[in-house]
Amino acid sequence: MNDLDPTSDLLATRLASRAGGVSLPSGSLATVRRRAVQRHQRTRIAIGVGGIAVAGGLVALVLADNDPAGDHLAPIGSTETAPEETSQRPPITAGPTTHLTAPLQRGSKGAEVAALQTRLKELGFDPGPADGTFGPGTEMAVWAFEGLANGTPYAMQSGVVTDDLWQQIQSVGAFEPRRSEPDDTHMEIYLPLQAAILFTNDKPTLITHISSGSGEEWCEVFTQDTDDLGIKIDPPILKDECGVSRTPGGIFLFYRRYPGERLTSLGGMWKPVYFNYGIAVHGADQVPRQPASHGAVRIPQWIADYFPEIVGKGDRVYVWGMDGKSPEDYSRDEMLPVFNYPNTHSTLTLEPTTTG
Amino acid sequence: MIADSGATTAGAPAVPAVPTFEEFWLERRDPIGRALAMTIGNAQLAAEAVDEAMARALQRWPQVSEMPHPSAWVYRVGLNWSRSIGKRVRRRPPIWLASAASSVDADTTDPSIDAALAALPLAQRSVVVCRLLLGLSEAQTAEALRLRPGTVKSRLSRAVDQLSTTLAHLDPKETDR
Repeated sequence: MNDLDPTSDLLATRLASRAGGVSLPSGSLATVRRRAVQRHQRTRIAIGVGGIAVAGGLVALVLADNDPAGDHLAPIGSTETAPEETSQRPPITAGPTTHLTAPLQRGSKGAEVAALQTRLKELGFDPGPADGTFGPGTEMAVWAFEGLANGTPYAMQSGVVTDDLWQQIQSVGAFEPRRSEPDDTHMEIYLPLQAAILFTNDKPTLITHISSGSGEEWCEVFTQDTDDLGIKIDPPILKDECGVSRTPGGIFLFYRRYPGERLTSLGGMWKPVYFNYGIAVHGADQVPRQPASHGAVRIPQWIADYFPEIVGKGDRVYVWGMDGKSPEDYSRDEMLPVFNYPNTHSTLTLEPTTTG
Repeated sequence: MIADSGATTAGAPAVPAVPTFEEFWLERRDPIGRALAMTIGNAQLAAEAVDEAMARALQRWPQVSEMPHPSAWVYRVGLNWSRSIGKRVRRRPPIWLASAASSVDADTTDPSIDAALAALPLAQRSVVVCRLLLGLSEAQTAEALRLRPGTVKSRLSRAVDQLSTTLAHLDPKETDR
């Protein structure tokens, strides 16, 4: 079987050694199964209900989302992603610098927390000031690290820095983009991880935890001063509408930003930067671990303060969807957000009421 | 299953058991992913490519598992998929793995290996990876990459010549040990 000459044989040894050093992101069987089901559904929708898809992308979308076949799938964050099914990243061999005396988590204080915050900032995270207090900002950064470094789905991110995790945080190299744009700025949003990275010339300039659309239907009475294209409505109008809190995957461009707060059909947004109709990356008070928005991509307020300054109009946004597909695999229809529709059970009287 | 295996251990003809998809995935996902990373120079995209190719293998596992070399099939599908990603959005050629050199063990690898590989055309690199990293034979490589065996041979020989010239500085140290 080994039909190689000595020169090739030596090369083979070198290549094997180099390949062993590649930090390949880990995979899980659940991911593969989800992709397989997605492929199956795509084929079936294209053949079976093409008429509906043409008649109304929205209907096809909602159907696809509620497809019973999808019920057999583990939810993205479910514990069905058993640890033994996860292939391992190669060990990172750079020498550890310090060890923790005890795991760090919300409420921890002191020099170790400050060192953690400083290191996270070095890597491109923004946990807020390195003040030695493990607050919500540090916790969000740790969630994102767990997702990005180890592929941990959002529901399994602990926010606890054990000594093992600390060794990894100290020794890990710069995060790499999944799509390369060597001369440009682009954002990669990974919904299954609830994390996003902004790359400039393929180097991470901002890494953050996010909270995207929860996938649930909602009905609300709200005041709207910005329409679904991000355009100002004057005077603001009171609406009673329903929608589906869905953040579609796909490839988009940042196309509009607003200073200050906007009241939109997707809720209040601080300094939104729009990329898919009414869907924007924006600041919010609440950026919980799980998807909680009406479809937009929430980031912490202190990051949203400067985020519009570090992205430009026309920068690409790649969104890896909850269903495990790659951005390129979404059709035009699938990339559309779910637009709101009137609440048929509305009891709205035109008293000026606002909800958050 | 248990009764079957008890019966066959006594019998002589060792018919290799067809692995389940799960077994195949556990054993081959990372090696193929690494091979793809070494071919396209982007570990992140390689991981996605191997997941996509594995999903396609899962869809038609009865056929794929019967192939003489399922890994070769998965490698090709992954390679084609990653190349189609590059085409769908007009983009500059990707940066090579070396950008992540900080996470690579400096004792066992030399950055010049990355540079040497990156300098090869993809057509040669994929042959090198199939033959030298995945350990496929000439015929299997030809099958995996849809090439004529003669093409595999000539590409490999040209690539090996170039690589051994570029990496000549590594030789004495290695062989003296």
